[in-house]
Amino acid sequence: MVTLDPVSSRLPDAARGPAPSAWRSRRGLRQWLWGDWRSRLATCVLALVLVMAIAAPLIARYSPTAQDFIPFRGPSSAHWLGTDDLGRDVWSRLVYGARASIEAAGIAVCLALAIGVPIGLIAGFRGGWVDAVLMRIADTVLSFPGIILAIAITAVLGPGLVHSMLAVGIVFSPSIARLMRSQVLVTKERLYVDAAVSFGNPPSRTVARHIVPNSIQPVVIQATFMLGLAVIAEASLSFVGLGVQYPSPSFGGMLQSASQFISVHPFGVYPPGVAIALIVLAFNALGDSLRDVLDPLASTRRAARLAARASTRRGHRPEAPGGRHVPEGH
Amino acid sequence: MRRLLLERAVWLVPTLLLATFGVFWLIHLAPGDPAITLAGENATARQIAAIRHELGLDQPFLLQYWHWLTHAWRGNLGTSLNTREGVAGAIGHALPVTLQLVLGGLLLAAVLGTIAGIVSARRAGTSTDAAVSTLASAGAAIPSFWLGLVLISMFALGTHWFPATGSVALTSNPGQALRHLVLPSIALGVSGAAEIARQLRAVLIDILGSDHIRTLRAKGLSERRIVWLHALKGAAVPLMTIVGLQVSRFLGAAVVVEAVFGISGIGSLVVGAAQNHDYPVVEGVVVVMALIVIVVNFAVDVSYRIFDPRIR
Repeated sequence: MVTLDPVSSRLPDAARGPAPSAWRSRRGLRQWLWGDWRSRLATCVLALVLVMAIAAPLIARYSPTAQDFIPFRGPSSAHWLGTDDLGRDVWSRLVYGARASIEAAGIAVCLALAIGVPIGLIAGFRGGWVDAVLMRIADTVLSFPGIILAIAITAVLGPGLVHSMLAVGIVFSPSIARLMRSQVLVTKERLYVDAAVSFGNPPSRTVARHIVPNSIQPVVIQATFMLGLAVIAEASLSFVGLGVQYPSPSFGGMLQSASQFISVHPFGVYPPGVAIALIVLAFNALGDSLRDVLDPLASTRRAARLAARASTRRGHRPEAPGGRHVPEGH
Repeated sequence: MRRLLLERAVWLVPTLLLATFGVFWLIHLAPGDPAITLAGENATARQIAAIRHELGLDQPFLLQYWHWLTHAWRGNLGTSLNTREGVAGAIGHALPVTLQLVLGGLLLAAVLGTIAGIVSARRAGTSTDAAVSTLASAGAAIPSFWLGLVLISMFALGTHWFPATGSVALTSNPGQALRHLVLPSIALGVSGAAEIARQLRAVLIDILGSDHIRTLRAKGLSERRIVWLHALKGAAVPLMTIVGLQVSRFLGAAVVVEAVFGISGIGSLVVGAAQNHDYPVVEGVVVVMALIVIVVNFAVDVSYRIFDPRIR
C-alpha cells in the first residue's frame, strides 16, 4: 500500500482486494529504512549496533572481562570510554553488551511471535468457545505487571540471559495473540477469502495463502516496537541480577556496577544508558516508519477509532489506544 | 447502574481465579523441593517427609491449590522459606512504600503528560509541537531506572538538593517523605508522561477538529475554556484508559527504580525472593500485584460511566 489509489482507499475495508505486499517490494523496503531523516538515522544506529554485535571480538579493543587497567579512568585514546570499577575497558564491555542486548531482544520477540501468532490465528479463525477460552487466558496474563511476571517466571527457570528473555517473551505473547486475532477477524470476512473457500481450497491453504499474509502486517509493526521494549526489559532484569550473570557484560549489569560507584565515578552511568536509549529510539523510529509504509491510513483511522471508542465504548477491558502499547517493558 | 457495576464486579472472580491458578501452577513447576530447603542441610529423610506432610506437599496438586486459595481468602499467603515469616505480613510492610512511589509517579505523569499533550495539540504542526514530540519519544525510550541514576548523580550527589536513597513513610513525616519521593517519582513518571502526551495529542487534535468544538468557537467561547473544559472532557475516557494502563507499567517499573534508590518495597522483596528461590513470597507478590491491576482496570471501567453517561 505504498501508492494510494484514490478509488480503493474510499471503499470499505472488506471490498478492497488483498493488500499489495509493500514489504516485498524494493521500494517499500527503501521507504521503510531510508524514507526520512528519522528512519535513516535509526537504520544507521541499528546497522552499527548489529556490526558491533556480530563482529564484537574485532571491534572491542580489549577483552570485556580483562581487569588489566587502572579503575575509574575517564575517556582517553587508550580507553575511549574509560575504565570501570575493576579496571575493565568500558568500550569493550559496551560492544559485548550490545551483543547480549540484540540476542536478548531477538529471543524475546521470536518467542512472543511463536506463541502469539498461532494462538491469535486459532482464536480468530475458529471463534466460539476456543476463542473465548484463549482470549480469557490472554487477558489474565495481561493483568500481571509485565516485569513482575517475568521475574516470577525467571525465578522458576533460573536466572540468565536466555531464561529471563524466554520469560519476557511469554509476557509479550498475549498482546501479539490479541492483535493477530483482531486482524484475522477482519481478514476472514473479506471477499477474496470467500472466493478462495468457494473455489474449493482446503482451510489450511486458505489460512496459509490468504489469511496469514493479510493479517500479519500490524503484528510485524508491533514486533518492531517490542524489540525496543525487550532491550529495556533485558537491561532491567540484568540490573537486578536476574538476567545476564556476572561477569558477562550487559548494559544492565554495567549500570548495576556503575551505580554502586556513582559517587566516585558518575561518568560510568552514561555509556550503557545512552546505548540503551539509542537502540530503543531506533527500534521505535523503524516501527513508526514501517507503519507509515504498510498502512498510510493508520493515523487517520486511529484517530477515528479513538473517537468512536470515546462515544460507544462498552464494558470490555480496554485495549491499548494508539496500537503502540505493549504491556510494559521497563 | 448499580446492577451493571455488580455484574462487572462478578466478572472479576473468574479472572482472579484464573490468575491465582496460573501463578500457583507456575510456582509448582519450579525445580527443587521447599521441604528440603526448609529442613536444612543435615536433615534425615524422615524429617523431610514430616515437613512435606506439614506443608501439604504430599497432597494432589489441585487439593494443594484449594488449600492455598482458601488460606489466601483469609489473608494467609503462606510462610517465607527464608525468613519463616508470614508472606502477607512482608507484603503488607513493603506495599505502602511501593504504592507511595507509584502514586507519586502517576501524579507526575498525569499532570506533565496532560499539559504536554494539550500544548502540542493546540500548536499541532508548529515547532513547539515538534519539540514536545521529540521530548516525548526520548522520554519513552529512556529506561526509568537509568533516568533514576542520572537524577541521583545530578541532584543528590552533585547538588545535594534531594536525598539519594531510602524512603520515609508519608504518615510519619510528610515533609521528609516528599523530599525522598521527588527523584524516584520523576524517574518513574517521565516515560508515562511521554506516553500520555503522545496519545492525548492525537485524541485532542481529533476532538478540536470536531463539529461541536466548531460550534463552541462560533459561539465566541475563549480558546482556553474550549480546550480545558470541553475538549478535555471529551478526551476523559481515552485519558483514563491510558492512565489506567500506566498503573500496571509503573508497578513493574517500580521494582527496578526501587533497586536504584535503595527503597525496600515490593521490588526488593520479589527480587530477593526470586534470587533465593523463596517461592511462596514470589507467589504472594505476583498475586497481590495482579489483584491491584484487576481492581484498577475495574475502577477505570467504572470511571467511563461517570465521564460519559452514553456508555452503558
